[in-house]
Amino acid sequence: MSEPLIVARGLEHTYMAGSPLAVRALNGADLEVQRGEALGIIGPGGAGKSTLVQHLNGLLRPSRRGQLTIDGQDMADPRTDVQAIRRRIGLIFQRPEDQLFKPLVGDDIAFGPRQLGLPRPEVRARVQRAMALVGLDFEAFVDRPTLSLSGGERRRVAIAGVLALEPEVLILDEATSGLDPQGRRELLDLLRRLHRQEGKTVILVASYMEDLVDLAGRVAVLAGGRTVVQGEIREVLAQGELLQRHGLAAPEIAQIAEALSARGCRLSRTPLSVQEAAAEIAPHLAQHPAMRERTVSGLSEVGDDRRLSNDGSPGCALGVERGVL
Amino acid sequence: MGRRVAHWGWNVESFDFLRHVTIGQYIPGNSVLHRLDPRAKITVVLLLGAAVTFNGSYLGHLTLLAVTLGLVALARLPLRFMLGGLLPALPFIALLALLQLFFTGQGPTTLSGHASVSLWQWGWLHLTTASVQLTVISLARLVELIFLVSLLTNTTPLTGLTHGMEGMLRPFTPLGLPAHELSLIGTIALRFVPVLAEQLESILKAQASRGADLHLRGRLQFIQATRATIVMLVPLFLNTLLRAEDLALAMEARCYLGGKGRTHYVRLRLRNLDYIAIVSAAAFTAAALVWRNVL
Repeated sequence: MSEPLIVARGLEHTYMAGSPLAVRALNGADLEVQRGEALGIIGPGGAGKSTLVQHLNGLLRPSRRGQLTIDGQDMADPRTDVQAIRRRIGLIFQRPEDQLFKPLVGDDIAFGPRQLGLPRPEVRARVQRAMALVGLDFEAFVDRPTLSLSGGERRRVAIAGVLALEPEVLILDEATSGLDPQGRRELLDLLRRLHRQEGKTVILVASYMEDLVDLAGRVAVLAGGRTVVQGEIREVLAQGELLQRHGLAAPEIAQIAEALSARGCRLSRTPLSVQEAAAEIAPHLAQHPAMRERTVSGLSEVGDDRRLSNDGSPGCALGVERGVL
Repeated sequence: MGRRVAHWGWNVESFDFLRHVTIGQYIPGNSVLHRLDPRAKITVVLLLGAAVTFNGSYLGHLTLLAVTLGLVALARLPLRFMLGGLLPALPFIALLALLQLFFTGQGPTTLSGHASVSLWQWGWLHLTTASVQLTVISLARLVELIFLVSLLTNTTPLTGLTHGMEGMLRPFTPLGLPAHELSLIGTIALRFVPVLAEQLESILKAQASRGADLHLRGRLQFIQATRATIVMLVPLFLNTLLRAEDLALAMEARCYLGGKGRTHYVRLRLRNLDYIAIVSAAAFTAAALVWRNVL
């Protein structure tokens, strides 16, 4: 495996250090991000997630203790070119809709490319591209005042503003919170496209596992400013008790799987989606002839005349999916 | 290892604005100053403020500075935290001091009424004992006032301030003074100081993360800084107006109808300690005013 893009070791951060209101937000956080991966960072409120991702963007610098290297560069070193880092790592903050700072949509999205000193046609092309990605019509929105937009539209503008920088790494801090299911699906689809087709590294911060399972390969769990566990999403999800202890919860479908295991129905892996769960549960059901019968009759009742194969498992999976079992 | 990223003064790259806003931030504690009645504290600050404003002598301000620092110690607030509150104002204080030092003080007498002596002159620039005194006294006044107001807000929770102000203004309601509303306006203004700092921080971070160069360097630093300030003030004001609207709505939603007929959960009562504080502040201020021109 090649050298990781981002390595954090024992990172610490205290807000308002030296004042009576000092708050320790990070207390030994570790993180490793590989080039081109999709990583989830999850933790309860106040776990230090936002503080951690602001370090990754050079907005906060490691102080005294803890190390952070991004692409081999020591972020504690004052000589490190933070501007160059920020050009490569785009950060979309919590509630980005509150952070638009230009009066017009087009100007706000063009802020980043203009700071890069790109020629005007290139800036325009990038704004167009970014708006297309987030699903905003260029002609209709480019000259609209940002204050006249709805919350959802403002968020799209803010995301487009970061995409227009065309960074290699995209960090989204609670980007799906407060979106309706449709908006959330669109955003996750966009991220998946950027990740799979354009090979971008994506770091997704969330307080709900559900937001991560679609996309992230690995997750890091943060609690009390410390990294509790970091690993493949399935391995982390399987540790339901650990998650619970830190005020988190596995997705409902993983919880169902765990409950089934407790009742003697062992699944070979923790399912991440309903489809996966169905495929896992089916072989267990197929062992019971009565269940096969019910699947067959249930499927024909809903008008599905697909025959069950001999071992019965695909049929039972179908049965679970169609809700007849 | 001394690897700390250096930050001193007005360096926006360090972003920790809240730390630099000591005015308006309540620091919980149990010192004598924390326990004083808010009305007594407001009275003392007003009295000492008058002393600071009207006294023009070196000796007077040396004493006033000592008194303010003594109060900081009495409130058990860390001096470093209080000094941190001066940092954002430093460039303005410095500019003001330079202007006063070289462009004022051409009158015949100094601030404290002594004859002014010219010390140095070059073209338009004058340095006289009057300008030196004006500069030093102005600096002292600024520091003392910032400290006094910080002391009041650092040791008094917001509700205490509101009740205190309202209580002090209530005798004037028959004259048509809207005591409750005025105290509310004052409180909201103070409450918004840290909110604005937080908002400023988040906008600056958004700008920085999208490639804005906030490191001010080069010869046109001053112009750059002004331009950068304007760029961030616009969204700040807009956001604040929106927030104010939300606040108004939230108040209406909770049936807020102004002060009429409202009673308080905690009744304020002046105790001996409060009388002692007021009387000694009054005596001190009287002395500072009587001898305002000594030395």
